[in-house]
Amino acid sequence: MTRISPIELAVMAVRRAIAEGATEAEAFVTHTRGYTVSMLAGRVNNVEYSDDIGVGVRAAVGRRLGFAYATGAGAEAAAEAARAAVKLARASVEDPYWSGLPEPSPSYPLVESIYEAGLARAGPETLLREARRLLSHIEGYRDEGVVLSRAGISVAAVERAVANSNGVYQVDSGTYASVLVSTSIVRGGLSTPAVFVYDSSRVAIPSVEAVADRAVELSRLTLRKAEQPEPGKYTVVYAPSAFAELLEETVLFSLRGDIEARGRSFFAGRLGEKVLDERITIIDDGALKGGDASWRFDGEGVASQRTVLVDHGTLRGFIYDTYWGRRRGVESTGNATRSGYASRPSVGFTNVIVEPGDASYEELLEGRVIVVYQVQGAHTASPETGEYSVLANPAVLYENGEPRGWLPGIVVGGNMYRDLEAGVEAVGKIVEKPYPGIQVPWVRLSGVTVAPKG
Amino acid sequence: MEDARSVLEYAVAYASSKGVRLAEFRLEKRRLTRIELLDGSMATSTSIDYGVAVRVYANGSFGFAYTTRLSKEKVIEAFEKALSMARGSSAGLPEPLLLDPAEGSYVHPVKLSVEDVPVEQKVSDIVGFDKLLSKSPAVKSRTVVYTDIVEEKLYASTEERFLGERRELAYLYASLYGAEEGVRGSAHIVLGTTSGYNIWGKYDPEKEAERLLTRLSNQLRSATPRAGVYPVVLGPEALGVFVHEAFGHLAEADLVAAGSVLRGKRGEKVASELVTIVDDPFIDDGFGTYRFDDEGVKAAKAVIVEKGVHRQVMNDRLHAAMFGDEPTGNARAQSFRYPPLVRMRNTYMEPGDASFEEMLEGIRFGYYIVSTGGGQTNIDGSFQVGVEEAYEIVDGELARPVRNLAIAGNTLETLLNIDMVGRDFQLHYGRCGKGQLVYVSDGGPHVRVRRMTVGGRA
Repeated sequence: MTRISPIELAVMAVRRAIAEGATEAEAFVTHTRGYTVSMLAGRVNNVEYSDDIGVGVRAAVGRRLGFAYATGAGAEAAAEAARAAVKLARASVEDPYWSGLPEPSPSYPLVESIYEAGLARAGPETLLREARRLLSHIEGYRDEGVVLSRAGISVAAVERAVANSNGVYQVDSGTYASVLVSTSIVRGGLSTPAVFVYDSSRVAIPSVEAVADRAVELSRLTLRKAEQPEPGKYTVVYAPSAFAELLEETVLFSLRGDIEARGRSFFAGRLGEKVLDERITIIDDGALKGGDASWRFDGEGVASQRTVLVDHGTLRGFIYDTYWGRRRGVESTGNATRSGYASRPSVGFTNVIVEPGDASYEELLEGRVIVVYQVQGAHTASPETGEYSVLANPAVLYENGEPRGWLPGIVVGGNMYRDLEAGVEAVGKIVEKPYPGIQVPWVRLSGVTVAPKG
Repeated sequence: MEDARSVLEYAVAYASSKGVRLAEFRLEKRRLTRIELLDGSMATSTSIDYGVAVRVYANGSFGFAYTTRLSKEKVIEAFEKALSMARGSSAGLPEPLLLDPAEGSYVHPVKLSVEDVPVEQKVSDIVGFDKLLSKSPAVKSRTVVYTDIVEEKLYASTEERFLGERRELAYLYASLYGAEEGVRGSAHIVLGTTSGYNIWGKYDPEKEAERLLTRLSNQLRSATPRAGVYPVVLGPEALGVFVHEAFGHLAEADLVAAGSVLRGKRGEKVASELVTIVDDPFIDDGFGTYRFDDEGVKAAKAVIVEKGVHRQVMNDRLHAAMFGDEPTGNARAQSFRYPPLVRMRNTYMEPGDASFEEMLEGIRFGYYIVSTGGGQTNIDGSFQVGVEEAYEIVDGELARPVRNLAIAGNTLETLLNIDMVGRDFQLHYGRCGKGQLVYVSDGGPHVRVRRMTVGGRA
């Protein structure tokens, strides 16, 4: 059987949808092939292979819209998705704001370092070799009681294709590798909290030893407890993982164009105003060299681009897809994201970069501060108001740069909008990527509410 | 799925001829309809997700592969792939529990199948509900999402187990954002049923709209909580989230093996003697109700805590064998794209005999927590649950609503601090993420906790 290529499949689906009566149609095809090795409780517990191809079709009948997808790589999948999308559009109600699918972009960036042939060819043997190296590396910390709670190593190769009835016709290929390690230390029947450390790359498998070492280092900070603080306001330093999570639930939510258009953004109507501390600059860059979420085009075939959202504290823009951009009378910023053929495009970030500040570690940790490495429950922050109250786990008390002990069970709270506007004491000059698609510095904030463990 | 059955029989015969200890094939078909209304603008989607998962246990290891192409050749190809990966990994895992041959098929009954209701009807019902929400001037933005899923599964293994199951899930999520006199807030509700297109038979749209609007208006008129340690009364919805997030995950066998605080605590007192917590696959109209799990194991009730004593953990075949436990049938996968993990089903605390009024009595200052925005736990037993609807308790009476605060603490200490368990009971619906999303239910009665960390935000 000759293989139908992803772009051929997309074109077939678009034609079929038009033939079924759609006035406009778009098809998005992804083909993902890859391997994952998972480890649990210190051993390999699963090796997975995935080979996933399918087609997602958006069809409009006038101003009525339908989306459907089907799995598989054959003409029947394309026809089935197209038929279902058109049928659904007919059953839907009119969207008065619908103003059509995008036109082809004038040019598309050539995104560097997002595909590596060697990585695309990596098989289970390669991953298992890395897994064994990781397990034996952790074994080296056995005397300290370090246990590998869980870990995963993945590689994948992805082809993306999009076509629409306005002439969009685009293909891209990428590769991706990631390593996730979670450790804790068990001594005398007591366990330290599980910490998670992650790294990824588009061109090579990240060093498993380096990821493991970072996890162990973090676990060690929770071996000795410090005295619980009195309830009150403290200066808190958020490490990149904690900062990124809280930022994502609040500030980034409000920088979405759909949220702004719906009147829910905290920054609505404040373009050109100073909304955050002047040391904070936030950029979305879908064409970032080697970025986790970098592609030549977004989920509806619009060219990827770099968009400055907050420039030294001043609000410069929001991210948009075609639909919400048109609703607001602006161009799409290439931020129609989708996780694969099975999802409709929606406004989302690609690679988020919060630019570094100028503070060294010594400056960040000056005096008496609570350093929050990871938080639990960031998703319960209120995106509309910026208020949050999360478990800091682990959090460590520092005095003049020296760790004085773990503060188990403390809850930190505040308001991200207010604190990032008026409470920033320092922004670190080192930027880290705590999880896929976001790079942030360390940040030191004053006036954070701390509640001790009950 | 007649042809499907013959594909699986062929695959099982082929796998048996290769002499593997255990090969499992899961053929799954999911039809999904989703209607989303954002401030009245509609987006609809449907899909048919169809594929076969193959898992092989060989050489002390599991190999997993799947295909979305349903021919004998493709399934055998996936099997060969899974077999070679298992053979290549020599992970040293113990042999998973092996079972006897079995044959069965079960269709969960529905009042009216979601497949027999035209999309136009579902659209018009959602539009009607959305209208009810748009009435209040304080509401600035609305999101209503209706989803229904028809799940058909066929499980086959080299043990000669052939098991079929069909169920329907309907799920409604509605959230509001509002602003009034410069105060902003949001609130949400989730409704669910497994009885077909019965969401508006089970729930009264007017009452649910009212409940959501009240939740929002409380947010807009509420006081800021004080950070500190206070007595807390948890309502059934909040307790359900606590029982699931803060406690349930710690009792999943894979996390117990990975060092959760429940490790080694079997037979020990981990909660007040008023507390019994179960994970129950039989409860009527639960999102986690099924006959066989995704390893073809017959579902059994897991009594995690009985009168304060830790009895059972929820397991899959591997961990049942590892710990020498009876299988509970808690292995679930999001779809054929994933190998099953130990997951919860319907997790709840059993009711006691206290009344709500009795719980409030004697509290000079505390909080009553009704609903949450979810939570998160760590295997060390620490948890955080973000609160959406809550009230102050002052001198034994409910007082002002408070803005979204959070509760946190150590799960086992919290369970030991429960001093009253109510005689009421409610079940709630949701999805749980553990790398994969599965549909679950949780709930229980009202309970009172003597002391709990309450985090303020401002």
